[in-house]
Amino acid sequence: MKRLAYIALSILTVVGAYGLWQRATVGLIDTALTNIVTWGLWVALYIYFLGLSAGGFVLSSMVYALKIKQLERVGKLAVLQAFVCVAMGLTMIWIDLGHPLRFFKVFLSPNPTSLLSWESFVYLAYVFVLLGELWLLSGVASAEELPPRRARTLKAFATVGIPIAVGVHWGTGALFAVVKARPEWHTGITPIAFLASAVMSGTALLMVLAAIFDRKDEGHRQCMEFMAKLAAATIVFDLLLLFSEALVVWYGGVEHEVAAFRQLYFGPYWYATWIVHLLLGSLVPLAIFSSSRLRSNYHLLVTGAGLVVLGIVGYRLNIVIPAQVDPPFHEFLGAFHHIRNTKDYFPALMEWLSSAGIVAGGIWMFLIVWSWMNRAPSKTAVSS
Amino acid sequence: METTRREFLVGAGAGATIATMSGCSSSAKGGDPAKRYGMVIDLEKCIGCNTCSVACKAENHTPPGVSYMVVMEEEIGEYPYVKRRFVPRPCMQCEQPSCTMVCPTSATYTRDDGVTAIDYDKCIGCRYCITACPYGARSFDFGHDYPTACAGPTDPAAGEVLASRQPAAYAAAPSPEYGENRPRAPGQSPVNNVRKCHFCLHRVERGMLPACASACPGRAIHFGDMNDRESIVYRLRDPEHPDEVVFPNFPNRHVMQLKKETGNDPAVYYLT
Repeated sequence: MKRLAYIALSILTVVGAYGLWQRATVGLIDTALTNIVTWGLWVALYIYFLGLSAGGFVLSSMVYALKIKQLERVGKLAVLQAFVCVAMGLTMIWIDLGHPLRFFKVFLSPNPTSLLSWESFVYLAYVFVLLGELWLLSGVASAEELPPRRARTLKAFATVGIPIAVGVHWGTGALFAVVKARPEWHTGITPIAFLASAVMSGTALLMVLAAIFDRKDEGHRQCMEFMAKLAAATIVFDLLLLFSEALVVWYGGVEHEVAAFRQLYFGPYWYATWIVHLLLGSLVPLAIFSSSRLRSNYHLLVTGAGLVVLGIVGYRLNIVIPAQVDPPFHEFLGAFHHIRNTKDYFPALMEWLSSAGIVAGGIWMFLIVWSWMNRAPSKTAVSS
Repeated sequence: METTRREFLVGAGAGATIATMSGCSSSAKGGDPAKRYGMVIDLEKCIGCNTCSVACKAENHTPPGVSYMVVMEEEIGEYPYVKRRFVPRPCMQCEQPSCTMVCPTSATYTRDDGVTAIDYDKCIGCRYCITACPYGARSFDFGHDYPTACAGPTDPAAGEVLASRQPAAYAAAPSPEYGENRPRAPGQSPVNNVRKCHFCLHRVERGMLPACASACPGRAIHFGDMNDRESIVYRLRDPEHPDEVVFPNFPNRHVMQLKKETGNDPAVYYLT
């Protein structure tokens, strides 16, 4: 099984490297992006991975700042999840830039009215907090083994990190929410929905990682149970937000809002909403997590978590793409004909491959840093 | 009160951040603050010939997929009672633009004369402004060119040019935008940047009309300084009620702005 996984990872790495090379040499001309749907797969995966990261961080801070015992054994894993996922998310948005080598201009020439400008600084602070936590936690099995001073520093990092992590995903949601030209994004619920789905998907990914990397004893089962209940609660909250949103749009009947929602629920990619996001990504896992009988089946529990992690991909694509499909003026589409003046977007091969490359890179990073964090310096000290 | 080293560092950091954030927006923006360039488009005169779009392309050397001025066509009614309406749409050069607010690098900004411009060297190509513009007035330059047709049908090099993605002579000719005369080359700005109509500033600053206004055979596009009493687009506006606008040179005409409800306050008005 392990060998098979490494073979799959190697294939992913090779095809992904080709995609990234193509992105680096050819540019955005080989994407399927248009001037109508100008943000595509990469932006969807950017918010996806940032959500997984922020969710993981919130859970790690429950351990190191709030001292929630049930999660203690997955604290380290959660920090690493947060770090690797933010690295993947930021790489996704980095390759989405027309001029990626100019990314530093965000810091040198910021715009005080731009949330993206502020967010860039929040992301930077977040990465520093995560690097600090990783360094503090490296070489120890759990935070209890840390010398008191280091433990205090870790607690400070975990505490300061909470508002920063919230800022990471709330702020990313706010980037979308402030865009009045896209009615589906332009609501006060958007940043909150980003937060809820971050905790939901981050918890689910941590369950999957714990199923792979954690010791399988009684404590593990209890920890998984705790996370399943947390995930169930956030799924319910997330569904409630979606329902509130749909209700307001339905009663409002405002033409452009209704059009955006029609696109989301009954457009050409309706299955991404109904099947991937709502059925497989929310309702099935919710049934598993909330039923003690189903939850007691370990394989089903892990499958439920995996479904949330995958289902959220559909959720993210649904946030980014349908909102752009309805152009600012319908007549605009007929004004001139060109492949970039269309609302039809389906990611090009290069977008898929380069995304695969980033995911493969993230997995390698996870494996390498995880083994570095779990090195045993005391052993070498004993042997010498 | 004694300041500790930590307090000093925190204070210095916060001060530097605020200074950087505020400094970036106070840089020289160009343009005469006494002027406010605007356009008045007479929809009764527009015949939907697209001359403005073609003139704009030829003037600014915009690549395929990028059109600063487009003519939107709308068909109203049912046969036999049908009417076609044409709405030329340049950039609205909004008083309260959505695009400049969201740009993370201040690459797009409103000049003192009201024209929203782009600094191609600052633009990182994130396309946030494209999503934010309620008028769809911004396009990303993906790097397409007009190679074969512009190299000439008998040019044997045309096929080669297409394959190498090198722009042919016409496309490679420098664009006069912002008076910069940038030659077009793969991967070089404005390729991979966001682009938009800028009221042909390079022409206006030399006393000429924007290409679209100059070329319009129906004289439907009027351009000028809305603060200038001598200008055809001289605008009377009550500062207390900016919604109430009168153009003395177009008496008894109904004046409208597109998507007024956005609060962007476009400087492009339509006479209907």
